[in-house]
This record gives sequence, C-alpha cells and structure tokens, in this order.
Amino acid sequence: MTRERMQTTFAAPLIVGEKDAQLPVWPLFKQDATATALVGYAFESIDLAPIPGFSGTPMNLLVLLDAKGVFVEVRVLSQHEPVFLDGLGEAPLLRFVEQYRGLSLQQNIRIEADGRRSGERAGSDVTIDGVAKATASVRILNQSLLAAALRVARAKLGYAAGRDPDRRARVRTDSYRPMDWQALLQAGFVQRMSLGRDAVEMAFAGSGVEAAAGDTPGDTSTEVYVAYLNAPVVGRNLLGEAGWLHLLGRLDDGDHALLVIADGAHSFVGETFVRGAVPERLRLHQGELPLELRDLDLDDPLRLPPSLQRADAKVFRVIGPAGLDPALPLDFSLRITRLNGIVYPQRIHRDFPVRYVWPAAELVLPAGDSKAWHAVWRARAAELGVLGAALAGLALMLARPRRLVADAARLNRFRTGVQLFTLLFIGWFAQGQLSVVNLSALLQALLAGRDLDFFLHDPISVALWAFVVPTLVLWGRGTFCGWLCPFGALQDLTSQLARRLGVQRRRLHRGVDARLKKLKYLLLAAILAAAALAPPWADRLVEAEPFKTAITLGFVRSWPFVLWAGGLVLASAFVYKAFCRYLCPLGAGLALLGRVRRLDWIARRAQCGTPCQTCRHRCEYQAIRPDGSIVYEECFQCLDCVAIHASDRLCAPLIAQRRQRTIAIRPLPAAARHPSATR
Amino acid sequence: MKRQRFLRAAIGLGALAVGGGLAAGGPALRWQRRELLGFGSTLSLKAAHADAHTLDRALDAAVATLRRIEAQMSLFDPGSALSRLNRDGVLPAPPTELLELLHIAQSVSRASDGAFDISVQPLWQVFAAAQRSARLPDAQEVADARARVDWRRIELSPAGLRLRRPGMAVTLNGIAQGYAADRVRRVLAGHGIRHALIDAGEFAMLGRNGEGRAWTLGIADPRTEAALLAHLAADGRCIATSADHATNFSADRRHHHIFDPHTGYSPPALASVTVAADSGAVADALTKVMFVAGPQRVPALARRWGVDVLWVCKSGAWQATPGLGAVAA
Repeated sequence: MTRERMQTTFAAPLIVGEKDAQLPVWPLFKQDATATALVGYAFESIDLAPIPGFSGTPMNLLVLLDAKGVFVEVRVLSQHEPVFLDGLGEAPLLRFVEQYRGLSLQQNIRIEADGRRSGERAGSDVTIDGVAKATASVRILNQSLLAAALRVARAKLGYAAGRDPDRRARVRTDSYRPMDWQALLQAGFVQRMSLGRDAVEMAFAGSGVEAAAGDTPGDTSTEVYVAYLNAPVVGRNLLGEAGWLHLLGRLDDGDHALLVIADGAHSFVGETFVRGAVPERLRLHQGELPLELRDLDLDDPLRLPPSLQRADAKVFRVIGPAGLDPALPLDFSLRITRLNGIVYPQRIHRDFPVRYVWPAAELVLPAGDSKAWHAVWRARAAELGVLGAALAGLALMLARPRRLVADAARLNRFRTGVQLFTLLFIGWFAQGQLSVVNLSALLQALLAGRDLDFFLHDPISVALWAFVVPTLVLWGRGTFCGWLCPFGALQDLTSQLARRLGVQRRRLHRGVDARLKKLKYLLLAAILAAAALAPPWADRLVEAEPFKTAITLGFVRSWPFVLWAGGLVLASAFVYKAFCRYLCPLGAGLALLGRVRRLDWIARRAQCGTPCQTCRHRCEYQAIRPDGSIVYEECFQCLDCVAIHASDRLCAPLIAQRRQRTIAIRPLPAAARHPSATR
Repeated sequence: MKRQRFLRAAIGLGALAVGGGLAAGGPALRWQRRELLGFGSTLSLKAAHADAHTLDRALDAAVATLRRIEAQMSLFDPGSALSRLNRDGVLPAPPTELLELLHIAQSVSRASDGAFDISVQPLWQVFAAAQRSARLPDAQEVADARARVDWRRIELSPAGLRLRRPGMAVTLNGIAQGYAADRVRRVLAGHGIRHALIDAGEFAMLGRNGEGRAWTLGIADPRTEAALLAHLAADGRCIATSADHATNFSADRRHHHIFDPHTGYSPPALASVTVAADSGAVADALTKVMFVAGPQRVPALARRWGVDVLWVCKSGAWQATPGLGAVAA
C-alpha cells in the first residue's frame, strides 16, 4: 500500500506518517490542539508474516496496532481461502476478524471452535469464537495476525528491550553426541521443575478451594520437564534416528519444537486437552509477549527412563514467524484449575511458572554487527574478490579477443577453463546462479512498491548482475549465457565430453530451430504474468528452470526435479544446449534486455553470407543468418566465428585472398579464381 | 524512551491555510505536511511551494535527511555509527554528518569548559540501570561513571573517531535534534522552499506560516503538561528547549536526563531552558550549558554566546532575554 491509500483507509483526523525506515509499517498520528500524538502503527500482515493460507497464498490483513499493543482495527485485505470464497462466503470471516478489536497482544488469544466460549475479554486470557468448518483457515489467520503484530511490537513498542528483534540466536545443530536422559538432564538440555503440594496449596490459600476434594494427604509433587527438541543433541537422543527425521519432516523452516512432560497430580493434559490444538493449561511467554503453543500430535516413542514412561509427554510447536528467541528464557506457565461450588461451580485458576533456559554454550549468537546484509558482504569479501578478478579478466578477453582467437587450441582451453570456473566456483561453490526468479522477484517488488533491499543479501548475484547489465549494453546477452551461467557451463562440458565419447550432435533444421527458439519467450511471458497476477503459479512455473535443482541444490532433491534437470543436461549431448536455446526463460529475458546492445562487435565482411556460409554452418547455436549477419539475441559469444574470421586458414574469403596473393607472386595464368567469382 | 515536547508550534498550525495570503503577485502556495517517528519522538515537517512536485521532492529529501541522521546517531539501533563507536571505541571513516556534529559538540564543550559534554552517556547508563531496579545509583556508582566522562578524550579526525578511555560512551541526544532541524532547513531551502516549519524535536523555520505571519512557538509549562507558559515569534533562528520533565529518574524531578558533567548529578535550579541561535546544534547544546550554569549566570552567558534564552526555574517563575520577544501565554 502507498501512503495515499493508507490515508484514504484511515481517514482524517488520523494522519498517516512516513513509512518506517526499517519495517513496512506506517505510524498514524492525531493532531490534538498543538501537539501531534502517535495513535499507533498500521501495517499489512503479508509484509511481516506471509504465512501461506489453505490455498497456498497468504492472507493479507490490514492492522492498526496502538502504542500499547492493542488491536484498534483489523481488516481483511485479501484472502484466497476456498472455504471463504465459495463455501461459507466472506461474512463469517469478517465477523471473526471483528473480534480482535480491543484485544491486546499481551493477552493469550484462544480460538474456541465449538462455541464453548468463556466470554472473557479482559485479563490475561481471552477467547474468541472460531468459525465452524473453517478451523484451519481461521487458525492461519490468527497466526498471521499475531506473528505480524509481534514483529511490530518487538521492533516498535519496546518489547524487544533494546535487542534487535530481527536478529535472533539459533540453536547449534552441530553438537550432536549420544547422551541418555540422565546426561541430558545434567547438561541442562532437559530441565526439571518440581511443583510441590505445599506450593500449590499456598497459591490457593484464601480462595475457598484450599484442600480440593480427592486430594489425599501425602499426594506427591508434580515434576515438569521441558526440552528444546530442535537441537539434534536433544531431538536425536530422545526420539531416535527415525523419530528425529520424522520430527524434522513435520516442522517448517524456523519452527520450534518443545517437549513438555508432566508427571504427577497436576498435568497440562486433561479432559480439556485436544490433540493438535492449543493447550488450555500450558502457556508460553517470552518477555511480556505470549507465544502460541500448539500440540504437534507427535506419536513417536521417546527414549525416557522407565519412571517417566507413563507420564504425559507432548511435543508443541511454536511457528517460526512468532519470533521465539532461544537465547531468551522460555517462560511456561502451568495452570491448575479448581472448582468452587457444585451447582454452578466457579472456576478458580492459579498459574505456576516453569522457566526453561537453553544453555548459552549451545547457541549460535547472531552477528552483533550492523545490519545483516553488511555482514553478508563482509563475510563473502574473498569470494567477491575472486569473482571480481575473474570478471575483469573475462571482460578484457571479450573486448580484445584477437590474441585469444589466433590459436584454436588456446581458445578451446580458455573456454573450457572459464566453463569449469563458472560451474565449480560461481555455481556450486559461491552459489551465484542468476535466475529468472531474480526477474520475477524484481517485478513483484516493483509492483508492490517494496524495497529492493532483499537482493543485497545475495552479494554474488548482485555482483554478477552488476557485471551482466553493462555487458548487455555492450555485447548483448551472450556474455552471461555463454560464459557465466553455471548450468550453461554444465551443459557445455557435458556435450564436450559426449562428443569425445563419440556421441553425434544433431543439428535441427533451420525452420524447426527458429520456431523452438520462440518457446522460451512464451515461458518468460507466462512466468512474468503469473508473478504479477497469480504469484503461487509463478512459483510453480519457475521450476521449469533447472538451476535450483542442478546448481543450488547440487541435484539433491526429489526425483521429478532431478529427472528434469538431469534430462536437460543429457539432452545437451545430443542437441547442443537445447535448454539454453529453446527453453530458458532467463535467457529470453536477457535476449530482450540485450536489444539495447550498442556494439556490432562480431566482425563481418562483405563476403559473409554472399556467398560464404562457413561461419553459419560452424555456429553451434545456429545464430547466424544465411545472409551472414549475426543474430545477437541468440549469440552465446563462443567466439568460434570470430576465430574463423581472423584465421586465414579457416575463413574462406581470406583463404581466397591468400591464394590470390600467392598467385600474384607466382606469375602463372589465372587457374585459381576468387571464390565469389565461381558462384 | 519517548521524549516529551516542551516547545510547540502553537498558533496557525491546526488550520493550515490552503492558499497563501503572502504570495502576493506570485502563484498560490501549496502547503504540505509530513509526520514521522524519529529520535524517539514525533517529528513533523510543513512546507510550502507553488509547485506540488517540487514540494514533494523537497519533503522527500527532508525525510531522507532526518532518517540518515538518525541512522548515524541513534543509540537505540545497535548498527548505527554512534553505537559502533561506543561498542568498539573506534570508528574508522565516520559519516560526514556525524563528524560535523561532533566538531560542533566539541567546540561548545571547549567554550563552555565542559558544561556541555557528549560523553555523559555513562551517567545516563548508571541512572537508567538503577531505575530498572527502582532505585537511584549510589555515590560510588555515580563517581565511577563520572570518571569516564571527558569530552577531551574523544578524538576526531576524518580518518576515524576514537574514545581514548575504556568504558567511555557518547550520546548525541542533547544535540542531534537541533542539528537535524538545521540540516533539514538547509535541504528544504536548497530545493527552493521559502516557507517551512521544521519540528525535528527542536525547531527551525523558513519564511512565514500559512497565514503570512511569523511562525509562533509556544513554550510548554514544565509543570502542567498541557499548558503553555509563553509564546515567542520566531525570527529565522533555530529554537531548542530542554526541560527536567522529559525523562526522570526521581519523581521530584531532581534527577533527570540532563547531567552536570562536573558533579555527575542533574543541575538543581532550572526546570526548562529555551535557546534561540542561528545554529540548531549550538542552540540545542547551549540549553544544557544554561541548565548547568544556573539562573544567575544565564543572562551573561546569553550575551557571551550572542543568543537569546528563556529560562524557567524549578519554582515555575520564568525570565527571558529581550531579544526573544517572548510574551506570557
């Protein structure tokens, strides 16, 4: 949204301020008498917590959060939930969202699906009505709203207590060693808290329900154990190899899994506990902000000591966008409820804190230095240096190819050398594969008016683009496609190898070739259109590009992707660089952008095309027209034709000239004639 | 940490005139305002120009200037140049604006014999830390912190900044807002803006307000938040105010965010000081110098610095040098 649209949404007397420099939020002000007062922050949830909805596309909410963390306004801007599109219609969703008005981020907000709503709206707990048949959609909406609002609260409302809220610590994943339960407990990976009977009674003192019926004297205490399962040292040890892998499969990127075990009279599992739901008796806070715990419904057996085999053990998930920071204490609270009275019993709650602090030695603290992307650039300075030197060398060679092309063997060595460097260093090592995703992301960011900062997190790509764009102006798309594309290099090297093994390359008929070359433009158009109109489709379409599979992931991916990428590499052995020439949407984009090319730098002579066709037949890319001119949009700058042009042994017109010269020296009758005269 | 406002643009701002009465003969002026959060406070810009596009560009540039200055000088942002200086004790290749402001700060410190000192941050830290456990720091803590306060130990050069004593820390909260107001005024003027009110926490103005009159500022009563103590008509100088009720470490306002670098405690006599000076940074810094000097020495200091001052004692009584043209509200 632009400020103008925000201003029409939040009408006067509210004044929409300047968009924040760090977060996509707008401060809203109100003019009272002489001072301008801050009303709160307006933001779109999709900018802060794009959690995919049931349809795969995130819902987008417009939120106004006041300076104390209270929701002033929550509106649905867009949603693609099937149930609210054709099933129930939007009305129940809008009614649901209305309920957030006036609620605070500091409250535990629970959605009650079955109308079993307590009606509480004040205090630390609040229940809102769910929407029947749309439980999942409503849950995702709640998560999107809370995660987005939590980010704003941490960054803007002081809840982060001076820490940079976007730089959270991570748990070390490289410290696995076999440990049993006792060892885990001793090392502090598993932590125990005892809740004694006396402490419970003390908390209920004066409440009218001091000694609950059924409690026998001598009733032992409750032991609560907490463990952070994401760390392999905990998860692999407690779940075993299979269970650990299963857990990882159940977690999305950034999710946290917490194991809680209660053994004794007071458990968080009771008649109100619903599998897969938010537990009623167990809460989690960090600082002043509650984080939603949700039962992961994990049934894998845990390697617990015999004494705990019968205890209640559950694994809970905290979603990544909620922003749990493992470097901060996890403050759980266990709720014990007693009933007062028999006919209309009054429910009396007491909460008992359980604090879990993950051992500091097992944390990877975020770089304590400036903004994340600065650090990324510094960390990759050496790679950038190597890349910069290589690009400079390549630019020199392309600008003055004469020496290079003078010797066919030298040209071949240089080309193979660069291809190897591109594949091994730029591609697999430095992960610098430019992709049509760069183009579609750019388009989406521009359409949405977003910052382009996100590109800065990938220094190698930025450096490559910074080199490729000027080369488009000078020489056209071939500089990237022929020299700097790792997947292109992989195809080239494969087909060279295949040729040595005796595989015959096929050259498609000129008409077929010309038609196939148009395919890539269609693919590009489809991707860009989808990026602008239907982003989830763009995500699927860009998979036509095998770069992610082959270069980014090094072919470690599920088999359909590997088959596609591997097939394309193999295809190049038979039809040289078929993917590049016929399918590559990035290549299509570069070919279009390359139309700004200023130089016709591949030298031609008058005889090229009429009559000489040597280069055209030798051009592996079929990028020379019968009239001898170069189709720069299809030229990969292999320099073959440049070498031919410069060689008086390969270039027919030059051969002829030489012969003429020879003839001139030896005064014999004109037996050999200029080739142009023979046709 | 939200700063409270002591100085308010009192008159003629609620109702921005649409046309410009003052644009006699010229095309009608358009007025625009921008509000943003910065320096822990609400900042606002109002400016006029006949051409909407020019006005937009000028205000965009002004907002960018405020953001840039804050990004260099924020103590809240751990990545700011100033935070890095405080953390590492050195800062190679400091940003130009930071370097310029530090030079101004140091020259005020020199001329005031250290009554203004940007290295008072350790004092703030001990008072703030004590406040978190609901107490005041003891004499030893204050003395330890004060031992780390010394503006002469800050080394400035275009090649780098250096804090020459361990544990030193610099705060620009006492000067950055005045500097920012000044800078923004230059930016707007550079875009051809001739009428503007800049509230960057401290004030700077250009030309006249929407009604064609001089900009008028109201000085808030440091004891009754909503009330105004006096009005003053701005004359093109930057105007800065400091008061004891902004951030308090004690309910009686004896301990607040302004420190006397020589004692380590807040100066006892004054409740609020407003300074009008050509330079916003100097005006802002001088409010602290006046605070530290106390009411008796204010008139002499005002003459020496060639500025005008309005000062409010803890009792609520106020006085002003004649050049300010202050009238009771």
